[in-house]
Amino acid sequence: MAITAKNISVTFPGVKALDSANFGFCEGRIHAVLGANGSGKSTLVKVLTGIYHADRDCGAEITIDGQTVRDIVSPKQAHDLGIRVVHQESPLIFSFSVAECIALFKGYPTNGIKVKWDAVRQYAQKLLTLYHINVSPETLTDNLSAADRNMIAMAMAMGDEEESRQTRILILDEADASIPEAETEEFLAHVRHVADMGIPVLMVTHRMKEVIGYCDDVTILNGGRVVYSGLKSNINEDFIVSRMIRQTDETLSAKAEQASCRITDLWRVLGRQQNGANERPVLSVEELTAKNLNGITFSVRSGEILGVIGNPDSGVRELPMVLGGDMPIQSGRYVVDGREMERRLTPRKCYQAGVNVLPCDRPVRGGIMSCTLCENVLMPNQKQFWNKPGLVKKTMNMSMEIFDIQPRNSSATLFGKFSGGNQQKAIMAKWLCTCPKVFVLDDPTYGVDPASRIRIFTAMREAAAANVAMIVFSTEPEQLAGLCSRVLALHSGRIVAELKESDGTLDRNSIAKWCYT
Amino acid sequence: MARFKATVSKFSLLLVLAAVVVIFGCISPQFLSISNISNMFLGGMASAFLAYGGIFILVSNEFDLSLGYNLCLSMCTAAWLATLGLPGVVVVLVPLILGTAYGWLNGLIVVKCKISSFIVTLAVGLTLSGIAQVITGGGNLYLTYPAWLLYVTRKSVFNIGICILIWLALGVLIDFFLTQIPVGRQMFAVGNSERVAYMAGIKTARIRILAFSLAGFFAALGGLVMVGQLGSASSSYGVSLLLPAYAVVFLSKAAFKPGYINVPGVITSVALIILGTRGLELIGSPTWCEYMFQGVALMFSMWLSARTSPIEIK
Repeated sequence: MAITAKNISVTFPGVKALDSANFGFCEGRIHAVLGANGSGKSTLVKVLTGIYHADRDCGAEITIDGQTVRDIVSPKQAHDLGIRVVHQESPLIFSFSVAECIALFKGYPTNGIKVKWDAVRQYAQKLLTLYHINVSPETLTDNLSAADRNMIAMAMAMGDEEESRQTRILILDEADASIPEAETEEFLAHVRHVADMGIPVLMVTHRMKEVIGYCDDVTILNGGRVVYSGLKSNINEDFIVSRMIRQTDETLSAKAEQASCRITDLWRVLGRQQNGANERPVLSVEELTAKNLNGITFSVRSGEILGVIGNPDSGVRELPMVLGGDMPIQSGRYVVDGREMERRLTPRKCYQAGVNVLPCDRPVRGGIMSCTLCENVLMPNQKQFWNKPGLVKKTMNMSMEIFDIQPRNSSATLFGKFSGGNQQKAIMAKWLCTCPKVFVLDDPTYGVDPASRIRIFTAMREAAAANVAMIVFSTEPEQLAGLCSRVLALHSGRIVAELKESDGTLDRNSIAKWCYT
Repeated sequence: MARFKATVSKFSLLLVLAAVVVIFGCISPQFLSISNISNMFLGGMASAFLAYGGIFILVSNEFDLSLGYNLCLSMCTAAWLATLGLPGVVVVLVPLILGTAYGWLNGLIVVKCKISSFIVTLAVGLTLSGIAQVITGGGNLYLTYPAWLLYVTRKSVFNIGICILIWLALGVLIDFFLTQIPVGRQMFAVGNSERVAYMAGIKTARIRILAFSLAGFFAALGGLVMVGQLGSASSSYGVSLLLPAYAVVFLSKAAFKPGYINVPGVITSVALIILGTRGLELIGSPTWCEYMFQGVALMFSMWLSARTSPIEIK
């Protein structure tokens, strides 16, 4: 084994990101590390690159070519030990040529003062030839394909022949995430080429297909523990998926304590008419195309909780934005409550039509951190609260009660001071108190503590019972099985499967399978 | 065809300049005499030096509102030192050193306190303006020596202003710095993506502070040129040169290397603005034409470079 890591535990306040995990990586083999979000794979990469550190008392040992260290103290030491990483974010300057980007990283060759541009070009050409990358050193990096960019990033991490001999392990940290599927094969052939140079390659990826097609060994992490480590040839996709899903999620079945008032009471105070129960679909799209979406057709009825899943490239990231009017529709029909939405949508128009979206990136699109909780919650509908301090107070008290926002009486506190869970509950309050017809939730439990999760699920069920149609996108798909009555699976921008509770296809394993492959 | 288009876009600013020269040359033949051109340039030199300062700021993707105040304070400082009767070398060197120091301070605050450069330089700039008012006492200060400063900023050799020659020579140096020296290239990298530059192991903090310091230096140099030419300073002189100077730097993105700030482009833009505005004066246009000319030129060139540049213009 070229590199082994033993007894690695990493504890963050409240979570054990890695729990006495052991790893071994062999020369010349591509080793995939798999796991759902939060399973510890990025923590592992950060431990190996000296960014995070193993707990002091866990007896961690990292052995690299017979040399054993307790801990890798800094990225610099990691580099000196021969650990090379390609990160997900591109290391290229978009307005520079390929040659100059490489020079920027490797240091410009100079004659003391002036850059020797010939040497810059030659070195770049040498790297490009060595790794069989078929682009000219003069090309602007802005004009490269995603695969080429990643291959150049890899070449930069490895260096020329002499430098690559110092390399003990190459870590690809979701480096393939930005490559479209059609180009991945080319990229992976290059990864194989690096492995054939006798270098262990550690690949963190979310693409099951690549793992099955190209890797030699697989390690599966689940909740910070290694649940499988061994040859790929012994296992198949179903096995991998079954190991990746969290087997227990007590938060889903738990019911939050009944709040003293309900969302329907709040609507009455605010003079909102509750939606009537209706068998007609309240939202439907037909042959919808947009960025990464190639013809989506589905509909949702009032009171239904519909789940949507898929791997990150499948279009699940884009669909909620399209539904919320934040991303342009290219073609197709989008109908809300019998009225066709216009082509040039804005979030405002969607809100007016009764479609609210809880976005996935809380600090960017979810809430304004420098405004108070009260300002955030009442933002969509400020007009109604103009000069009515009594109504503001009543609404805030009820929202905080219904969604259990802690601490109480904090409506003047800055939004940024709340924990992730409380922020998310407040954003739910913000959108639900306007009584939408459709509520789209994009990853509502991301970075949310278990207690808040229970409250969020309860609130979703409550709102659904009050005839709000819910569409839930989640990166933790295991949750959807207990929550939704119907789940759509996306792949390559199309709906490829519909899992229904009524015909027995809706279970954890099948949901997880569509998410991870 | 595409190649032809690219070539045209590279030299489009030169073509516009040529058109301006031809049009005003036809209207008034003495417009194009070397001495007249030199005189027109001499009038715009303070702003032209200030534009060099703006290059470093915009290349590293910052903004510096204090440059105009810096230029003004340098004028006042030089004149004040002269009224105290200090040696000529001191009168010239102290404003230069202080000007660089103000820039360095800007950079330091921006980098260390992680405050947007817009705010920091606004604060520092207003402070500098206050200092200038203290020094001048609200009135005018007069600079009568060093004689060589007055000579260099006002006189010509072979009909060409000496400080124009110095300006061009400094342009060559800056161009060399930005295109041929690692630090200059790294400045471009920092301006494009500080994160990527940081990940590449570049000391981005130092590079940014250097950019502010160099900008401060050139602002002070512009101040010396102006005080040398006018022979007097007050706390209101030169402050309004700031935005036109930046306009010239932005204009350079439309020439020679579309999409990138480049020194030949800055020199051409300075020529275009000076000849264009003076030409309009020549045919008797009102003052507002001057400003409108600059504004329209900037809009047009940005549109042009956005269309022809290989990279996306931000």
